[in-house]
Amino acid sequence: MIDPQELIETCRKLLTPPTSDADLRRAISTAYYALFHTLAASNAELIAGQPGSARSTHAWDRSYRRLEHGRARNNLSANRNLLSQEGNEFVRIFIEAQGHRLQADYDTNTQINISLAMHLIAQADATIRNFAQLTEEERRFLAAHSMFDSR
Amino acid sequence: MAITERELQKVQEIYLEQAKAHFPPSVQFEEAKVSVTTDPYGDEWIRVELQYSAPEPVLDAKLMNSLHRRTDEPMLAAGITGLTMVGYVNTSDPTLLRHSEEKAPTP
Repeated sequence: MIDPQELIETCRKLLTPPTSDADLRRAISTAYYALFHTLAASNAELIAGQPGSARSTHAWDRSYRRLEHGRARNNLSANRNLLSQEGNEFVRIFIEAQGHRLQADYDTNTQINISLAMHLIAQADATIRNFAQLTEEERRFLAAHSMFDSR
Repeated sequence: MAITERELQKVQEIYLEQAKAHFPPSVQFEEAKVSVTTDPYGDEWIRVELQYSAPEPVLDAKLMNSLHRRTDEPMLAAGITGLTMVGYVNTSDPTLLRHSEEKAPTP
């Protein structure tokens, strides 16, 4: 399993001086992925339970990999007003981090400074810690909207 | 739908004003740099870079993460509903403003 807290630690290692432009870009991208994997693991656990047998591991893996960046962003954004303040906060930071990640990974002209990266990592870290405090009902809501489109 | 210059000005006003009200007085917000960026999938984002000076290199994450509670309503009232990404930059320490640092020469 991918541990989001380990990814946050990786971000911090990348910011240990001296830092290159590539370090800053990877740190920002990794901070987003820490949030992404937090949500993916929660979704998989709620649908498939903890992986154990070959069958449950298969179900967990399939549920985990259902999360897709654009769908999650659009569906969560459209429904975030139905969430608690804490749930709304997760969605907000998830989306913002995704925007920063897209810039860091694809925008060759953008200039990222150390301060910006440090703040984004602190925000992702706090958001992941707070995610554990969300109710199961709210996490189910996040799973339903992040994984599936409405018909 | 393209984001207008007028909307960007409004975003700048909202974020600067609300950041000043949201954080303690020891955090001095100087500027909200606002720009539009298009991601690889063609979606437009409003990028807000809040520049501040304060003794602490990194702001309180809880406060940063809850700023939207103040900005959502005025943004909605102004009819601005597009994707937004906010970043914070501490201008007090020049070393934190570097985009990269010179690697030590290999002996």
